[in-house]
Amino acid sequence: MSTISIRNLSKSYGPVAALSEFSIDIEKGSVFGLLGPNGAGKTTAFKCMLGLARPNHGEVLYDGAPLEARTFERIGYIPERSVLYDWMTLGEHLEMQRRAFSRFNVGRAKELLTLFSLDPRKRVRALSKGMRTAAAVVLAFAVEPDILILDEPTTGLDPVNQRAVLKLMIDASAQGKTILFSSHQIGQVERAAETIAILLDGKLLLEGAVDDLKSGWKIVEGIFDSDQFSIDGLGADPGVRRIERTGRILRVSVRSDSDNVANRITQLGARDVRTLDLNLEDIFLGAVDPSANLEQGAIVQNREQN
Amino acid sequence: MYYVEMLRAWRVMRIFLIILGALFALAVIGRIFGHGSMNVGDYTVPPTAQHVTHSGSADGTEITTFDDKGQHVVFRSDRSGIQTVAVTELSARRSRHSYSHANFGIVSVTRSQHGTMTTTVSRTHKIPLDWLFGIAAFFVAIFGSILGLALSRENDGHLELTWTKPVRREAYAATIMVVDTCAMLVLTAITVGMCVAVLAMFGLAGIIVADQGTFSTVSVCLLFMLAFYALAMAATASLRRAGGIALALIWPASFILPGLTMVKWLNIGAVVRVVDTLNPIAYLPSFGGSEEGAHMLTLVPLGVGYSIAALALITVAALLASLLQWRRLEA
Amino acid sequence: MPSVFTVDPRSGVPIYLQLIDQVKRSVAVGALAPGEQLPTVKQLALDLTINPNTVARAYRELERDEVIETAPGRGSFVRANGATGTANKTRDDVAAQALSIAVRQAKSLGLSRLEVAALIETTLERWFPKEEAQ
Repeated sequence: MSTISIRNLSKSYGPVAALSEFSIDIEKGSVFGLLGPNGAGKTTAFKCMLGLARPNHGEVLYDGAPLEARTFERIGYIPERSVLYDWMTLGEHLEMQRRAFSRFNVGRAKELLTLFSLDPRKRVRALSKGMRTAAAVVLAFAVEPDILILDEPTTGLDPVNQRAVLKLMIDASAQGKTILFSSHQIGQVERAAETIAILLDGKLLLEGAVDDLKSGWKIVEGIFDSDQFSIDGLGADPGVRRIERTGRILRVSVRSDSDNVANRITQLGARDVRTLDLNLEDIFLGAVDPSANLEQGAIVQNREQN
Repeated sequence: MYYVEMLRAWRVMRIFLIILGALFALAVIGRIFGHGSMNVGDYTVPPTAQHVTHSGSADGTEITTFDDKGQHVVFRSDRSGIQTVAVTELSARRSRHSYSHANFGIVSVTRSQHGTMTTTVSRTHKIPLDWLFGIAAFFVAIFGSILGLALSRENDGHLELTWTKPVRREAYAATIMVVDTCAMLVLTAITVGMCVAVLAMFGLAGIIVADQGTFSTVSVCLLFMLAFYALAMAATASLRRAGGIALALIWPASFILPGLTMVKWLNIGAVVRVVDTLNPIAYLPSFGGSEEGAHMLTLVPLGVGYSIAALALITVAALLASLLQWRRLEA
Repeated sequence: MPSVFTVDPRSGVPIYLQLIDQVKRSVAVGALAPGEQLPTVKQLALDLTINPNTVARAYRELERDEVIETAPGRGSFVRANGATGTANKTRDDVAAQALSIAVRQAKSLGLSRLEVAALIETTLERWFPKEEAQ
């Protein structure tokens, strides 16, 4: 049974479908990264998962059971923007959490305050954006949750604190906690997540283990003498996912077990054929922005494949 | 889970306590400065007095005169409970004072052109205890309507924090209501206490009276302010930003509506009467007990018993409405 | 405990494979001695700021490849024997691949087989001067 199981989650705001048939499973102890451009539906997904918004249909199960008030004892949540009370001090926020959550760990809270150099006597309105994010991190982690749901947890933080948050996540994962987080920073996701999903316009484009995605696909690149080369027959190979040509360069995204493509490209007359590995950024951009090179009059064919 | 609301209620109460404190300080100042001429409470002749005389007449009037600190004081107390203190400056300052008179109902102060300040206290007046509660109720109703914004304040960007606690939304809202109600009752007690203290300062504590009707009228006062709180909350529970504006509309409306019930043109009066049934202010005249005139204001006959029931109903219904609205919101 | 491992998350090569490769290299080169203890999964994950399950996967594969062995409760250690054989193979693979790329590049520049061979000989001279030739 997955720790978090999301089935066909859909949410529309008026005529706009913010989320369509979103389904993922998050296993216990894993770190799941949710990627997508702004407005892709990541925050909507989080809100539906936490009962902050009502989905039009679909369900979210935590260890097989629907969300109820009790479930929040085990959940630590960092929302996308600051939701703290301006007029209260940090210390008062921690006291509020302490009274509300039975697992709140005061010692841990103090450690975390020190880690981020936060003064509990300060009022939230006197805090900078980065400090508010850090405060939200403290509030979420001090509760010692089993499940962490983090919506852009490093917004506004300086690189040192960003690294600190990543390490907190890694530490939690090493303790067997389950983490779902979203981030714009591919580098962070590449490090911390073992599984990712890519959302675009509310739809799930891609889901899988980072290692499998990286090793499962490669780019075969060929350089031709002129930009008038033919790409006959390339599309016939079922392993081919995307063909992209810019000037004299041909790039084919293909499943790693397809050896024919490199040979075919050589047969078409390429001078230099190389095989490149895909990193997460390549995977992400490839999924989200298929027309990246269109401006030079290149032809891009993008085949919808798994 | 009531922690935040306690902090919030305290922050607002502090302001009201400061206002009360300022009023109390004014009373104290008035008491101190008016010392010579207003000390009619339990009148005692100061030890430094000279030429002290006492006299009494057959109809029970007692007169005491003396000189003290350059002033000539005539203290007169008659059987019907009226006490008068006349204080005259004896100094050679023969300047002309202008005549002035101030009447505070129970106490009136007159300054003659010769510089004599006369304070008259009529101890036959009685102050019913429920009047004090009535004053307090208005004061606390303002406090309550500000507290009524509590849910609206949560909506303004804090729901992700409020609704991700291991507490059901309904329970959370209910604790807010309990905390606010307690705060209002506490403030009422403090306000009434302060009124009594001010009266006591002037030696008038004894004129406060209560009878068997007091309990029900006090109940009307308390329910009045609770009803206001509940209505303010019901009106703003779904709002995010406009809470203050809504309040700013509710208050004048609640004062104007009872007047509009008199309008015969186009039957506006009748329609307003229906709406006015929800208006806590319309139930206040039931104090006075004049049912005929008061009946004009609402659908409910304005006896004290009816008023209590109606206000209680309004309070409960409005709180329920707030709760139902609030839990349906989306963050 | 050595913390000489580095990984590049931005590389297209999965992190766990990079880690496996690094451990094998270290063993082959002697940076990791037989019987030496490796960092715990949690410690390595924190040091490198990478996902601990990735580290765990690398350790599992290393154990499957008989490069390391894990004793429950005590940690992971380089195998006292047999590890070097596998590591050597890795070493050979990497060297072969580097050479292959170099030759292919030379070929794509238009050099003939003879010209490439001559270049290789010159390069060998450079890196293995005659006095140290085996």
